[in-house]
Amino acid sequence: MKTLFLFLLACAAAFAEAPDDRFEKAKRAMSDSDYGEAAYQLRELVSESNFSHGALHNLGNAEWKVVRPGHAILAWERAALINPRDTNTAANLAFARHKAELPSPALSWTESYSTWLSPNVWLAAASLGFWGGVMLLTLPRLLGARRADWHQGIAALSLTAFLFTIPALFGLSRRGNLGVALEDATPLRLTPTREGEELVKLPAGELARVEKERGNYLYVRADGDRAGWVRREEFERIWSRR
Amino acid sequence: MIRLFAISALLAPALIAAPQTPRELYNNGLNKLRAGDLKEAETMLRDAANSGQDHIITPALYNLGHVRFSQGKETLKGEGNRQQMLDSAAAATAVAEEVLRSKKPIAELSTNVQELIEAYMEGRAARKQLRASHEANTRTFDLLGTALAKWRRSVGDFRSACELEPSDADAAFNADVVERHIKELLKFKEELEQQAAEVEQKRAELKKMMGKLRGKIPDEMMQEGDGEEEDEDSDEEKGKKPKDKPGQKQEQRIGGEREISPEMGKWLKETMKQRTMNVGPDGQPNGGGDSNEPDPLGQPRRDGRFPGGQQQAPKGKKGKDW
Amino acid sequence: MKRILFNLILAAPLLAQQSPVASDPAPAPPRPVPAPRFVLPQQDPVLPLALNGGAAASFDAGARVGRPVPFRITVLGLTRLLDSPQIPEVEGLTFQTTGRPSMTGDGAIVFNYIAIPSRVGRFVVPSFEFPAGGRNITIPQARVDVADALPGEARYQPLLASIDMPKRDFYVGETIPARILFIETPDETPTYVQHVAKTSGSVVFRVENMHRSVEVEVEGAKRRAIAKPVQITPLKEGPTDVNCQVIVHVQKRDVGGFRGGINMQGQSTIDVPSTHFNVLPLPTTGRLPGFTGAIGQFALSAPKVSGNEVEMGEPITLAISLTGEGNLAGVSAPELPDNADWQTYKPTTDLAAANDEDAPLLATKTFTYTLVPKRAGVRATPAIPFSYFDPVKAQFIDVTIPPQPMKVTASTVPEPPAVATEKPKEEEEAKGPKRIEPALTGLAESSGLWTHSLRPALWSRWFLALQLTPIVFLAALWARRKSREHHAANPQIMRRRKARAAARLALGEARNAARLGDSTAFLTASTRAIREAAAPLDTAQAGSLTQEEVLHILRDDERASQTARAIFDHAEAHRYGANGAIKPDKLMPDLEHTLARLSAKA
Repeated sequence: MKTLFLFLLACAAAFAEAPDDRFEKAKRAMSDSDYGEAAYQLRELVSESNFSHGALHNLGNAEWKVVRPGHAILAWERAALINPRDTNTAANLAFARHKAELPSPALSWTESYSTWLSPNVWLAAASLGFWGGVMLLTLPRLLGARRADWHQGIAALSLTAFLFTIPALFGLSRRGNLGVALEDATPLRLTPTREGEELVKLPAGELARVEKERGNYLYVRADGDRAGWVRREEFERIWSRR
Repeated sequence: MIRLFAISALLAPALIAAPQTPRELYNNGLNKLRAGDLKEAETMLRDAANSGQDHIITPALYNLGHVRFSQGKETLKGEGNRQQMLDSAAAATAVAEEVLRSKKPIAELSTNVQELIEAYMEGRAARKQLRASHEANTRTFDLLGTALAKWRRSVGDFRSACELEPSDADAAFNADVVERHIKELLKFKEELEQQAAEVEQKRAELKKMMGKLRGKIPDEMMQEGDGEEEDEDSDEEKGKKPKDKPGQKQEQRIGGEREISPEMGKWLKETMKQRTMNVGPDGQPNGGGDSNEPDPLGQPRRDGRFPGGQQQAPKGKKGKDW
Repeated sequence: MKRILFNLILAAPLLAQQSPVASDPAPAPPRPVPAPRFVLPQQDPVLPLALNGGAAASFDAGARVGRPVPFRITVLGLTRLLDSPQIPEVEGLTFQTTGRPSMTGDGAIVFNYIAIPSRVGRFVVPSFEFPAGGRNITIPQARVDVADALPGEARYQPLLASIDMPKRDFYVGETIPARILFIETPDETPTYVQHVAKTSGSVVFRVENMHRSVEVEVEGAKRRAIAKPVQITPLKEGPTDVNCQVIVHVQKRDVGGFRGGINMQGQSTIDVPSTHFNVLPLPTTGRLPGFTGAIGQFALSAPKVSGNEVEMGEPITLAISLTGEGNLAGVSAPELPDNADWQTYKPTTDLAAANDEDAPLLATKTFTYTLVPKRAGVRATPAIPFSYFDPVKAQFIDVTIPPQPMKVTASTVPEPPAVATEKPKEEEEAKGPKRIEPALTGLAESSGLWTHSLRPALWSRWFLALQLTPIVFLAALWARRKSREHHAANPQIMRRRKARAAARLALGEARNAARLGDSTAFLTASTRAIREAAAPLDTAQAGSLTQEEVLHILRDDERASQTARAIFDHAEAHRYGANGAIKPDKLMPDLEHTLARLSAKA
């Protein structure tokens, strides 16, 4: 039985499409104006936990074309997370917010600072800066060698670089709470219940911060201090720590 | 002393403006509910429920359900006797129907000016009745809409309390009670809507008939303002004519109250009385729901049922205090 | 005398009309070259009043091939000037109107023409009717005998005309500074350009009012010319031909066959030959934000702000000037991007031409924006994206209007009613400049690197584990260093450790020897093991320890002492050849006991 299961699993793996194939297929569908098919292919990619900047950018475009602005903005936000320097993705986000008359997300300075580079670049810089500095300061002593001036100079530089990454890491941590309202008129409820009183409605694509979680509900706060409980399926974080 | 006074003066606003804790909000809201200040109670309990503290959300929601049910009841106090309202509308419809039946041929065929003017006056009187009924219906619809919204929200609050605390049987019971009230209200609303539709239909028919009559009455017989008479019935147009001076023009119009013939007035009164009396099941005018309805908050449930079955009240508010 | 002669010349054709008209031109009789130079005033000739049928038509004498000869029609009895009669076509003769008709003092109207014969012979202009004043006037027949050109005499050279424009490719929408040149010839000199019409080609042809005299070089010779500036704006891409028709006043020299004699002022209609050039579309790549159609070479002045400190709600003006050569007339103001801090209104524009003859397109266009700060605390005016296309460099140039520092304080006056602020906004929306809407960009061509999680590695276990690696590494290095320092401070530790290791090694060899029953090897390994184990307890090296020293160490353990003695004795005996009875396997437990005892002591 176990052998049969493993065999079936192997077969499924063999028949599963490679991410690049799906990406190309979606691109062709977009070229043929078959946006529904393109969106389907790219959604499948994402549901299989295959993320790339290009796939998410194109997913945003496809979702926009099939009039799912919330999902489009989520995809572009994710694409911008992977490659914050891509001007096309930034332009699309600006375009979508302009069209949907959504406010620009109000980010603190640490959060804005953290958008300069992708999260993993910040982490790599922080790790290298910290451990490089520490190593240069400690290794000569531990290895019984004399600590040279250049050791100290480079250590100072490394630690300075590390210090510069700290606000970005803080901002990055805060950005982990950001999410997007997926459907239009997403209700923010007074209580995390099915029949909770609707306090306000968020338009599709608006960004909000998750402050609390309870069961199937998230307590989110949007621009203008609009806060309330929202169902998980109506709101999705750009990325989650879990 | 002066310094102390100054410090007090400075600190006082700060102390007053200090935000209330969820617990204080809940307690204050509950006190307001007990005192009958429903608006304040709603605000405070809502804020308490929005605090996010689990141990406060559920009781706050439960009492919020009470507040909103009471608000709905308060709203309905202004609706008047329901059966009387239905009867009035039916009577007005009957009068209009009678006028249409008897005067429509005149409007279509007659050329006798005197006859035409009499028909016009009768039509106008019938329309006045219909308008009064229409206005009463509109007002009642507004009240019903407001009360229904409050009660539906009340059900939502009780259900939410139950969802958060599944063992809270009181909340579930209260939700069912309020739902029964809503059902009853909807039933009345449906009847009223049917009646209102009939009223509107008759108004339209009368308007058409009176238009024809106006066309046949020579201009010299018409006085200033007669042409605007039809427009007067329209609520929208009423609002657009601030320049009108009703006190001045009303007296000059054909069909003004002082020009209704005594015979006509008598006939109308008789017809209306007859129709109203016919509507009641036992020949007596029916009363509204208010007179028979117990006050749910005033008489909290003891044995789970009120006499009369349907007229049960929600369970009493939770008086938990910290 | 001159007058008599002139009358004779005029009378000759009139008299000739009385004779029958020959169907074929008669051979031209030889004519003497007039000796004197006849300089006639530019006025109508004196005509006899009695004309045939009230109208007369006549050529001047002395017509030669290729040279213009005056032709006049004189009509009596007209009270006002009329358009010149259309002359019937005569093969070999080309007629041109010269100036407007004129009235003589005796009530005649004279229509002046010149005729240019193309061959030798007699030419007859047939009689024709000319409608005038409600009646038809019959213009009588006229005849001229044309002689051959004089030796060395060139044919008549009319005025040269051409459209002069820079020699390069142009872009759609670009304003090309061009000029129409009217170049004098030996026979015609341009004096005045009356009208430019019938332009053709997919262009907008704008003619300046002025014209000026210039000197141009034609086939190596400098000639005087009139330049009429025009601005040509191509509308379509691709090869383009542009031409026009111009009515120009010229002075015709040597008219009437008298070289250097009669000069006539005339009006010529000239078809300017086509000029060919190529029109390119504007590049689609490299287009910058804020491009509003400006093509040329421009410079942007520093923005001028009406004030640097305003209250919220108080309007300010921001003026910028674009100076240069190009299509400034058609350039619209750059749009103001949406801004939450500023209320914007439709900008006004003002175009001021420099009137520079050498740079006809040089002008300055000023855009004036009215801005109203919406909130206090705003620190700068918004940046206004602006760019133009340089046709020489063939690229878009960014001249974005930079933000200007501004201090906006809170308003001290109550806010105006909403209506007052909304009306201009509505107007602005209705008439304001077209805004560049953000647009959806294209698809990503490549997928980029794939990842299986969007979550930054900071919250991954492997990342945290990775952070432990350097900690462990540094801890190990620290421990190693500490250990070294400890060993350096306590050398006996190392000595003991080495002794133990050596003793274990020797014990192993002894065990092997005992198993094999090799007494010699057993005794060698056993003595070595005992010495190695005892070495840390003595100052001497293991190899130099004597039996007595070992026994001294083991003096408190009888069994170990006896075992050591026995082993050393047997070993001594074996060394000198005695083969005593020894059972290694029996001695092994004692040996192990002895070594354990020595280890415990160390």
